[in-house]
Amino acid sequence: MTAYTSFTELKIGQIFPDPAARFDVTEASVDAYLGATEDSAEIYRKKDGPRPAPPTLAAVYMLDALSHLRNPPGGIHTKQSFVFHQPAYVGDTLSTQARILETYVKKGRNYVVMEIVTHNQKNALVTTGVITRIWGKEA
Amino acid sequence: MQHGVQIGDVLPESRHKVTQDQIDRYAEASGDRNPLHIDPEFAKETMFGRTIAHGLLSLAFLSQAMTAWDWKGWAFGGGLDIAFLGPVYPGDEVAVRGKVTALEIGENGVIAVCEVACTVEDRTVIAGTVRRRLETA
Repeated sequence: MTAYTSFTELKIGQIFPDPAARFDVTEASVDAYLGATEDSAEIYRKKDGPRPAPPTLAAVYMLDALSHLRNPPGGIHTKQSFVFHQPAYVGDTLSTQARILETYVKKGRNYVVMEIVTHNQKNALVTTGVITRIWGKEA
Repeated sequence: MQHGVQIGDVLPESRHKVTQDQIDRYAEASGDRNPLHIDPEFAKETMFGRTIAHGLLSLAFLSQAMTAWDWKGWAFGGGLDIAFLGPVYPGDEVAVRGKVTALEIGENGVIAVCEVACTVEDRTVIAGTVRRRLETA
């Protein structure tokens, strides 16, 4: 049985995961994302030269990093911001870390605000963002 | 105006029919297997009463609209700031709309700011702003 993190255990300023979560941008991961989102844009299927991933692939590598916090099931997103500094390309290895900015309770629901920062293998900034989630219901 | 974008310009509207099959595929592709999205029995006991699509799936529709408008300005220095206001259920059709409301000069050049909304019939499910870089400084 998976041990979930309690809302009361979350600490402002907490940085995770440490070391940063690594995500390999592969042909397969981009194809799966394009297929699931039914995105037909030619630019993401480029064969002559570096193949960019859709900027919102950030949703995938961000959640991969956030999964280290072991959010109980049933949580949902309420807000999201992203800045796309430059594209991620197939072949890149991305490193993502998150930091807890704020926690609060509103109308009986537990909210967590987290900042995420993603760099590529050249240590260049790829994506930054802030996510607000309602923490999943704890048993 | 070199970039040809003006306040009041409207993004081409796009529509996306969401199915449970697509939600399941998004769960696999993204690794987000939250049972709220893919387990009808679990979802039945939540405030939604049934499964809902990932908010980030609808966000991908918004990104597709921006890519179609200008991929470079979106992928190199673009961004978004949105709120998820309501659920998208299997069978819903999501409409994506946007309008340029400001042109800003920042340290990285000229940015077009667009108010955007994703709606399902008369319900707004996502609202906020997106930013597209028009020129480098």
